[in-house]
Amino acid sequence: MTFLAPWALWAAGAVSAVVIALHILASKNPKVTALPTTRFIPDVPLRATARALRLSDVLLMVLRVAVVMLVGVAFARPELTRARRAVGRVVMVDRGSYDRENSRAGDSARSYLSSGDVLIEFDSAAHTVAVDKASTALSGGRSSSALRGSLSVALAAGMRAASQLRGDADSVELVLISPFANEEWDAATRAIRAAWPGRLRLVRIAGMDSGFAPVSIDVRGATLDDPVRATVGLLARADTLTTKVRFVRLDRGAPNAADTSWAKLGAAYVRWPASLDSSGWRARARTDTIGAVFAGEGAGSATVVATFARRVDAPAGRVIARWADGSAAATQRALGDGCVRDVAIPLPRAGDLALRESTRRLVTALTAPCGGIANAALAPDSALVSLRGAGPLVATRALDARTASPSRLATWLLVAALALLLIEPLLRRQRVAA
Amino acid sequence: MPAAGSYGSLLDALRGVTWPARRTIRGPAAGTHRSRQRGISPEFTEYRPYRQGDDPRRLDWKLLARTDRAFLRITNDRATLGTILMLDASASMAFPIATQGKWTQACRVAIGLAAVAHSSGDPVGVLVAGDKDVAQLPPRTRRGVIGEAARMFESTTPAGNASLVPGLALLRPTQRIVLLSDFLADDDALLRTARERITAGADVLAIHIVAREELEPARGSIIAQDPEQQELKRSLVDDTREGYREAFATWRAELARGWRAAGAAYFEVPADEATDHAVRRIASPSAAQARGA
Repeated sequence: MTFLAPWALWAAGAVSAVVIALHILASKNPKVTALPTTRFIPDVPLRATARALRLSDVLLMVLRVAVVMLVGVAFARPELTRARRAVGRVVMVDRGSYDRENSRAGDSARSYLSSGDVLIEFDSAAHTVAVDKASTALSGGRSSSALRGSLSVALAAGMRAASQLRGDADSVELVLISPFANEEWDAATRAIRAAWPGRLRLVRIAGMDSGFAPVSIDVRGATLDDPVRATVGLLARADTLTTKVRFVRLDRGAPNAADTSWAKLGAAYVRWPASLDSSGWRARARTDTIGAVFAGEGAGSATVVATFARRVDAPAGRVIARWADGSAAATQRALGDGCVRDVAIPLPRAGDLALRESTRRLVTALTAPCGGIANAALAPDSALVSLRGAGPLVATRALDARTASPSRLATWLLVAALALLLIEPLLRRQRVAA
Repeated sequence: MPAAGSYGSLLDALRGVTWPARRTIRGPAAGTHRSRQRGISPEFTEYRPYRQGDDPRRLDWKLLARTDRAFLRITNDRATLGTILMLDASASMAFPIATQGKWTQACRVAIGLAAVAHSSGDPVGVLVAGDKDVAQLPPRTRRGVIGEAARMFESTTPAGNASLVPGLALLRPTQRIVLLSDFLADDDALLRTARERITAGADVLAIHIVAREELEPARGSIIAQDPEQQELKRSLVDDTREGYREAFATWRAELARGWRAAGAAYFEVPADEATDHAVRRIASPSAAQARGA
């Protein structure tokens, strides 16, 4: 058992000592009793005191001291703890950095994990894995994520999970296992890192390329003269025999159950019907034309200036391509660990639009993996030094103010003290009557 | 306080007990006690030569006819002895407060002695000195006098500063006077008055009722308060307990010596003593002879 506010114990001890001293030292006037032979008592001044402790006094004293100590222990915020360890760890693993074939991230995580530690898997979101299931998770029981990892998410989850170690560890160490690519940083990373007072242990997984592997586009349902197929044919082909690639399925026809299952496993399924009229999507009230469409962001963005006849609206979802007037031209929705994209951009069979560079960039943006086009560039060492920080590990006591929840033991102690307090007047009345 | 009917077992236990007077008495009525008078009773004692002035009716005429000498026939008379039981009903007798043991014991001893005296044909009377007045039941030999005495005790509550002195002064000198008290009030005046009654021929018995709590106060510290003098308070603690015992024992010894020196009989009766035992102790002939000695 540990006490989060031990000063309350000292205070209770001091008050108890005062109570005991008062019981021993306090003089009390004996009760007046009729005695017909009073005259034969030697006439001494009326200073008769009863300082000797009687049994009832002892019981009363013990009761009062018990009340004081129970209140003191309750205010000391006791917590039943297991045997404490010197250091507890919160291990955060980038889900995109391991999968069935590549277990280096899992091996690293296992080397840092011990009983009582916390394992967090993260990509764009963080998931705390139960300690007893950590081994299963790290051994490949879960598939890798197609979403890009976020260090901000990992740090926030790790700091929150650190409070779980308060009961059995003196210090907490955050272990972050990730490739530390540039894309994992965002604007909030520095501020979130500054909220953690201790240093971090950063483990860079070298050669973790699955999240940044080239994309192989599998076009289905396309005729030989399909413009999208022609555009894809102009893109660079990934070497699927010697290089680990990420497959994207581009369907120019109608989807089936196999496509959905495939997407759920973490792949990107792009539904780009060759005939938008038969796609089943909501037809526009009035067919119109628009002069441009753009997709992607940053270096991977693409803008195609051409005349497009808009007959249908893209289904609801996160917009990944917009027409020149801002309306959605393509949307994406998450499905399992992967995603499904619906593209409502009609590419004409005639003309050279499919052969333009801008069109290739548009197709590339629309067929990117679910996490977007990976920026495989690793963060510089200076960024890692800043992220690692300096100083000692964080003591679990420092986490109390933010994370401690009221102990039920303290509540029960206060209830016991209240019960004894109710008994005290009865015992005192019984003592007076005696 | 016990009701009148609660004395049944006590009266049964005292059946057959006699209470002889410790000396010859003067009494007109025929009774069981030896009288000082020589009279006409059939119990012959001796002859005495006739002297001038003797009643010629007491001459033994047959002896005069045979011997021509004049002798008087002397006989021993038996007389009754009126017994007055005086009870102290002061506040000090209502102790201990919870049980009123002293008052209860005084009442039971009085009833026991009254029953013993009444069974001998002696007139029995009761006088209770209370806080405000003196309740008196004149000596009677009629049936029911014991019940009347019991009812009188039952209706009395010990309180105040009662004194036996005024009642004692009014009694006839030839009676047996039994004082049941703790003698804590006016003990000197009472002894002085009793001495006058004894000199006048009364047979006085001082029954000192003592509570066990007075002999051995409970351990612990208390502030003792005299129930008859509320302003008198003393600390009874371990330091003063032994002094109290010695002072109380000395006073009791002096009290007994004073009464016995005055010619009275003195008995100390603890409140927790069996009443029939106390009554037998008081009424026993040996005690009477000891008193006479």
